[in-house]
Amino acid sequence: MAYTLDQIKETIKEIIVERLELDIEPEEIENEASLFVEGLGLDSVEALEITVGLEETFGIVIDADEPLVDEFYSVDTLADFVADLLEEQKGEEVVD
Amino acid sequence: MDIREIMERIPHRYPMILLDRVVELEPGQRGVGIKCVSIGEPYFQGHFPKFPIVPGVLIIESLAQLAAVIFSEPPAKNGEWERKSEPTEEDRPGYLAQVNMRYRQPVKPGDVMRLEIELIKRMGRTCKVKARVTVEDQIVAQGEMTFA
Repeated sequence: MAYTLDQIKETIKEIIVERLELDIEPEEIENEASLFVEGLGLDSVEALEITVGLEETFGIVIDADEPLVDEFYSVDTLADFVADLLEEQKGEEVVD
Repeated sequence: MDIREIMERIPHRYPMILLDRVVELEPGQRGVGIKCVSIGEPYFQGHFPKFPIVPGVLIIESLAQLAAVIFSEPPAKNGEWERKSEPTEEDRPGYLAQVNMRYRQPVKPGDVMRLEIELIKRMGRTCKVKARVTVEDQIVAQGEMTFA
C-alpha cells in the first residue's frame, strides 16, 4: 500500500500525540509549525520517542548518528523525510 | 566485570550503589547485571518491618546503574570520581528521563536479580532502552527507560 504525503502527515501527528501523551487532538498540530523549542516545545527525549514511533509505524530505520535538526523541524519536514526513507529503504513511492 | 570495575565506571557509592556484577557487556548496546538482595539492605528497616520487599524505584535504580555502565565512556582516570576541578557537561551522568515499568512480583531478601538492558535507539546522548529483571527465570519487572 502506497502512502500519500497527507496520510504520512496525519500519521506523524497521531504518533506525536499518542506517544508523548499530549493533551491535544492530532489535527491541532499545524503542518508547518515548529515542533521543538518554539511551537510545541518538544525536547530531545521526545524527539527520540517520535523517532522510535516512526520506525515502528513505517518500518523504516532512521540513522540518528547525525543531528536531524532540519528533518525534525515540523510535520511537513518530517513527512518529506519519512517519504524519502520509505522510497530508499522499502521502494515505496509516495504520491502527493 | 566485578564491583571494583563497576565502581571505576559509575560514581554511585553506599548506600546507593545497587549493582554487584556485570556478567555480559556490549558497550553502547546491551548488558546483563546482577544485584543480590540481602536483609542487610538499609531500606528493609522501613520497607517494611514485617514484610521486607525491595522498593520498585530501587529496582529501576539498579537498571539505571547497569545502563550507566553500558553507556559510560571508558573508566574515569584511576577510578577517581573526586572532583579536582569544576565538573563539565561531559562529566555528568545521564539523567533518567522517562520510565515505563510493569512489576510482576515482589523482590525479597535472598533474591538474585538478573538485570537486562538492551538499546532500542540512541540519538546523541539520549538513549531509549528495553529493560527486564528476572529472579530465578521469573520476570519480576519489565518495561522501557529513557536516559538523557
